[in-house]
Amino acid sequence: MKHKSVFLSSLILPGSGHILLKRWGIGIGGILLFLMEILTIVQFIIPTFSLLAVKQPNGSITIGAEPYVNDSFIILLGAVVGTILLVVFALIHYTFALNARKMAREIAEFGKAVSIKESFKAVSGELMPNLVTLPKFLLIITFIIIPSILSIIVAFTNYRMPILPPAFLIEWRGLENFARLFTDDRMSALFRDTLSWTVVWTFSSSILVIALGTILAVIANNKYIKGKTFFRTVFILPWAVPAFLTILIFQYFFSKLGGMNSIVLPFLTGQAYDMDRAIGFLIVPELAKITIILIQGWLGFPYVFILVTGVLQTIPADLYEASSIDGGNAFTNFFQITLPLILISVAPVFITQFTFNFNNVVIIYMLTESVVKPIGAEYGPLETIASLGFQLMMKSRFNEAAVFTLIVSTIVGVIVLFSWLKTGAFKNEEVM
Amino acid sequence: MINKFKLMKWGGIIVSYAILLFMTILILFPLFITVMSAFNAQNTLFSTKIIPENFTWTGNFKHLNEQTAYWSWYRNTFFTSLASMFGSLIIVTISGFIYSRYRYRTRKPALISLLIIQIIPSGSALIALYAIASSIGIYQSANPVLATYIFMSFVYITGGTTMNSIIMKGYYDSIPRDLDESAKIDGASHIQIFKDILLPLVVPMIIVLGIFSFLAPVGDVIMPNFLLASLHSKDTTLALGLKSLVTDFKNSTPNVFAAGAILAALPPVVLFFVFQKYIVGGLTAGGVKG
Repeated sequence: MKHKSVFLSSLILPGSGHILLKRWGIGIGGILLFLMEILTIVQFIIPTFSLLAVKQPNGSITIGAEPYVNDSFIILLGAVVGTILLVVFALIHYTFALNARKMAREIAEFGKAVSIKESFKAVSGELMPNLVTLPKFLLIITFIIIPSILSIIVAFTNYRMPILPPAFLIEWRGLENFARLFTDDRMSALFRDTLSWTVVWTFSSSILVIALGTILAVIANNKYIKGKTFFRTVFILPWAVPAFLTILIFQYFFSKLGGMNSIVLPFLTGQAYDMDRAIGFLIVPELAKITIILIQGWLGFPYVFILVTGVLQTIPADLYEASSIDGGNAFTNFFQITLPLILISVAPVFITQFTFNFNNVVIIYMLTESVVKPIGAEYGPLETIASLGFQLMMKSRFNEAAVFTLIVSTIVGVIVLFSWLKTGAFKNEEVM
Repeated sequence: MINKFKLMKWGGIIVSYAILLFMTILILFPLFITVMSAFNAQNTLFSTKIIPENFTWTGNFKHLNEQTAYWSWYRNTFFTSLASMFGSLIIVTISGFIYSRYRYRTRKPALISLLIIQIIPSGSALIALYAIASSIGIYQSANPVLATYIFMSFVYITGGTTMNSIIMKGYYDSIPRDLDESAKIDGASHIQIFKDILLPLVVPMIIVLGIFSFLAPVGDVIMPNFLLASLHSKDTTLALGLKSLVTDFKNSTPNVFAAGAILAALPPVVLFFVFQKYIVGGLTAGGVKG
């Protein structure tokens, strides 16, 4: 039963179990570590956590006690770092306890435990890969995990212009920002309108991209078509030119002065260019919505085109030979061999395209400015949930922006996780 | 009967060519017009002809060079791109090797956490990133421009490592382990196996991931919008600088923008076409794996 008491005592005081087993070196090391933990907790974690919620005379609960003395944002940052440190401490205690228990068992069974030197040799195989990949995880914690947690926390506060630390203290507001999406008239109307356009935009642009890419790949890979390399080279171009450039090019191209009005339409209709009759493709809301979906089709299809081309090239020729022996013609070949094989490999692309376009802020942000807003509206009709979060951020309305980005992240996360669980990505030895 | 089939076949081919050619025009026309307007003298606001009447070889480029901070934007952007490319390639190549060749207790938890972290959309951290950048004092430092760009490069490096480590690990997995085993028998160390045997074999994937991590900062307009907001306009990136050329009609014309766009598009397009084979191969391999 000794191993149980050794385990429990190490869990509370790392190293104590090793001292009980007369392993002085590790034991003292553990105690020193514990002293350092106490020092960090007393010096850093307790002071930070005590400032996390301060009740002010007027009844509000603020982060930090006094403006200018305490910077609310730094306190929040410190609290997140402190929480992560506490988790790390707990993990260290657990490792010590596990090791002590193992030693106690070995002593009970064989009369002696593996020496430090030998056990170190045994763990070096464990230590090396962890140490080498550690910097990456430190970067991930610093630049992804901590900022993401902080951004979520902001959704529950009043952090927005003009309440910017250190001149002001940030206040806790609970679920107020979320409730406003439904209770506040302007906010709820904005949310409703944006939501419906977001759904339309996500579905139509994704489907256009996938359909265009697949159809063109099937046509361009037909064995009777000459000049495949030429077509392939041209069809990759929209992907090779950085998207922000093409979006800016199209913004000008579809403007009243641009090529669409001054060259293409006169050529098609035979009427000379007249600036007064020019069509505002990105000015009239309904037209702008169609135009932006078409532009996304132009920008996005090469990815699917290349993917499907790759799939088509891996379909073994025997399949078609066997089919022709059984009396199959071009149509049955396509619908019973080619299409099913394409669909299987394109299925995961549906998920990535949906999440990408749902999250696609760049194209909306670049094209939304010129579109006419409805009277009294603060935001243009092209805004999606994701881009609205971005626009709110630009106006320093951080708490409202956080609500929108939280909604976006949750939806994307749920879709991706669900699709992975369905395909068994976590169990798949290929991925793991 | 035979005639009918032949007719259908030829009809199909003609329709196919028509669709492909139509798409080719659709892709090339806007790009072609942009190239042409870069050589259109800048006092003409619009052109009703494809070939400009006021043709000038250098006028718009000269304006770009003299009136805007174009080369400063150019340098900032490609500095960030190169830094994040090298940073993420070093991390991804080494950690892919570790995940593929070593079996240790925390390996599976590490891979699963990478997969899950990768789901978090990059935009969700933005609110805090600017606040963190200013609270650690990079805007008050001795060289705020350099400090900001280094901070930004770290964000790009980190963002690119999660999924790319897993893709890279899959590529290492496709190299048979017998190769390392036989080298080990011949007395090669772990570092030698990595450096001399596996590294040359994963070069195609290094190229693909390198190109994408090089291009990600070039095309980003979202993060610079926040992190560079407090800097002078000459210290911004290509994306934001060129956008300001389009919106600011007073000081420039679309023709100057077109000239800038061509110079900006040149490095990515050249990279793409030189390494086209690798990109297509890497994409297909990655796509099949999931």
